[in-house]
Amino acid sequence: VQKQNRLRYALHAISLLILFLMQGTRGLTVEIFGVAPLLLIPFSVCIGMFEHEVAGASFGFAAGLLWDVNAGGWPGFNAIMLMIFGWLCGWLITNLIRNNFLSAFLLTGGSLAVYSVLHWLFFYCLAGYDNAAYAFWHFDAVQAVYSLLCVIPMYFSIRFFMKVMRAL
Amino acid sequence: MRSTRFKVMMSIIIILLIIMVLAMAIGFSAPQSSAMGAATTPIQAIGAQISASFNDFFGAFSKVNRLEEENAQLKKELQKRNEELIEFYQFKQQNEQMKDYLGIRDLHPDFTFEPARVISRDPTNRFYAFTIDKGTMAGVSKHDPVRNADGLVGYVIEAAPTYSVVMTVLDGGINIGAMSYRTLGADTGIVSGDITLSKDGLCRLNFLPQDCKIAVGDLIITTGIGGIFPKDMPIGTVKEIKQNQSDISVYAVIQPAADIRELRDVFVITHFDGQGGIDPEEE
Repeated sequence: VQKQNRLRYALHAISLLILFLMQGTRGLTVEIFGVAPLLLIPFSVCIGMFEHEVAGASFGFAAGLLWDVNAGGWPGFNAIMLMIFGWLCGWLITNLIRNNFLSAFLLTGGSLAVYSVLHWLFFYCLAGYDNAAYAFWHFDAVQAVYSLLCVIPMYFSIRFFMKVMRAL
Repeated sequence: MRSTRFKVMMSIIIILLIIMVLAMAIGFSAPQSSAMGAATTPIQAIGAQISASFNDFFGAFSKVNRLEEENAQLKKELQKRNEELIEFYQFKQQNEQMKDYLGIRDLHPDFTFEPARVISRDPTNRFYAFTIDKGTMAGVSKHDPVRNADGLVGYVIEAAPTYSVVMTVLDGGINIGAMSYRTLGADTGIVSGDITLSKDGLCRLNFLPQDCKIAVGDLIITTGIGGIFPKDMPIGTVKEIKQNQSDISVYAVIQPAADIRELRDVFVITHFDGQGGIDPEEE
């Protein structure tokens, strides 16, 4: 079991690295209305759901740390946000709600909404940029919706992978 | 006495010999051969067909083996050619980068450059901020200006040992003293980004007086005031001039000389004469 866990976590880590590269490299994801999807948020949510809150928080933290390398500004913002998402989703699935696609969709939607609003608030409103509302409706909202769609392939891929791992 | 059978056999042999000799001498087809041929041709044809089929069938295996070998050899050759091609493009890119570098270096002998490559972008940044593969270990420090062969790109806002984050001229938080090259400092303003323009890769030259002489198509360059950006560095060209809604000044929409959204290689200016000054976010 321990060997299986190690293998599963190693594969999660590889997936995380691939998604990190895809998110940060222009051309590796399709841009819609000038925005690229945030792949690490649905990933953190899904890992939290399929593993448990500690693993969700750990992978969320690692994903956020990697993201912060590219972000500039407030180092640690993404690490904190993604860690909370991973932990919270893991806890909710363990204690309150069922693990199915609808839950994944709603949890990712909620996480993206919280992230987008806080990001917009801290990095545009409080930073004193002009036309901050324009930024929210033309970038943040569009990006959140686009990223939410990414949970569809991500949820089913991770579910399939987990089934295969359990069968081993 | 010899038997009748022997006599018949000898007769046939003799007849056949005669026919053979005659056929050879005169050149006609021996009737026995024709007769045999007529009988055996269809059978031979079927045999040939079967043989051909067998040959094709078993030959296909040997052909497949041969083709497989050829295919593997061609694949190897193609792989080698691809590697050579990649190497060629890398050299070509390096060559172009070095040409740009030398061109800028000739124009500005006081500049110390550090060539760098764009390695990633933060998708949540609306102004196309990016990360480069050079940091403090390569001599890059915070507030160093960044450009490419075409013009100013931005400046370093975070310098880590092995990487740096660059804020671009499209960012609403940047302020760069700028003027028109044509009017030679008659009208100066501040170049800054705008969230509504950044999507199209444009920025603004703010705080221009109503009677400014700046015209569409003018080249906008840095003034060098503040000590963060070197003097006379091209920023972009004027695309449009508009009235500011909040005060009586006008502003120009600038098309940056460097294509900020598609950058791959840049130069960090780690030193220039007159460097050192106030933070361009507060300039």
